[in-house]
Amino acid sequence: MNDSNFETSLRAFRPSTPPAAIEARLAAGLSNPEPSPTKKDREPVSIRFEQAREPFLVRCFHNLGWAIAGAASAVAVIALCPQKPAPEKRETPQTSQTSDARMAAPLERRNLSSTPLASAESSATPVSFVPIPASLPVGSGETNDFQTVETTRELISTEEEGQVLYRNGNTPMRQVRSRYREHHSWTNPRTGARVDIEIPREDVFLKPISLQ
Amino acid sequence: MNEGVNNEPWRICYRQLAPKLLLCARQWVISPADAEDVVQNAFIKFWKRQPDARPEHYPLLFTTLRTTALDLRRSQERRTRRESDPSAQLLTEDASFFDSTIEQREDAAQIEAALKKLPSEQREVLVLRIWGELTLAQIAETLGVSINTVASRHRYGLEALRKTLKPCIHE
Repeated sequence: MNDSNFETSLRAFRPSTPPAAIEARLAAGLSNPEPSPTKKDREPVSIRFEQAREPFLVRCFHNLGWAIAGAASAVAVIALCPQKPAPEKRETPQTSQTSDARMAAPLERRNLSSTPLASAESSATPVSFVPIPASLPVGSGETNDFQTVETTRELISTEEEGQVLYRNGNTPMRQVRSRYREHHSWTNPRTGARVDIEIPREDVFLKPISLQ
Repeated sequence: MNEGVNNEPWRICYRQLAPKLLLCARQWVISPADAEDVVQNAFIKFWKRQPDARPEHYPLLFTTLRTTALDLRRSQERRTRRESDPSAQLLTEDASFFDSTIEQREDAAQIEAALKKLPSEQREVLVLRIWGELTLAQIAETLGVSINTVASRHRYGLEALRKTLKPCIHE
């Protein structure tokens, strides 16, 4: 007897029938007022929910509204913040103007001052120093704001880092890396409180190489 | 009117499947009374989700049945552990698996005994295949295992059953 015939012979034995009471309970259970799930509920869980599409103009105005609100809040914050006085300019050594200054200018312009390479070779000396005033003039319009007392930049080192090619490899340049330590001081003339900050700074200069 | 009630689609489906469902449920829960509860709850759950169920949806009913049975069994096992209820084990030998004629009664008892000796994994596959009349693929889906696993369980189960029943099944 193969498997199929064996299964058929077993299938001849009918499973016992459940009591009729179950059918009655099923009738009661299926007719109870609990709402049966709708077709929507029976959809797969992994259905992709489409966001309601609004007309294009409505969406534009909606986004514009948020942008305006953000801009307004930014303006309000700027208006409410106390304006700090601009840091006083300090005297800087004259930068040597060479024929390649035009190339170096965009990089140097970012610094508070530029230091000539010749002086950079020297030891780490403060470029400039503004002494703290013994007493700040306190006028009738004295406020509780901190005022800038000192801003210095100390040249730590200058390193020649060799030749690099600039602008798609057409222009040979000399790369010079300078390290500074910036020192900023603020003081509150009313309370005498003083804030000092030292910031390390590193600038990379590209100096064109003159082949002549 | 009464005839209309009797011809409700769920009744037709239930009457067609109820014996198979009950036999399958008895493979998963301890007592016949629990098996009846499982059939009832599973059928209600199934029919509320598939009010327009067709025969191709019936394997899903077996899946619902098994899930319901296993849920009940787990809760019973927790309760048994908690309360150390010795009566739970006494409810196993109540009713027969099969409606048998007088001539079949002895063979039916032997088949039932042979089925109970099988490992539960093989037994559920055999019951779903022979009396549930599901295909191996449908059984695999119902049990959540691969079709190869189902096929091997079916083969080993059938072999074991054949060895046990050799004297009583007449070729």
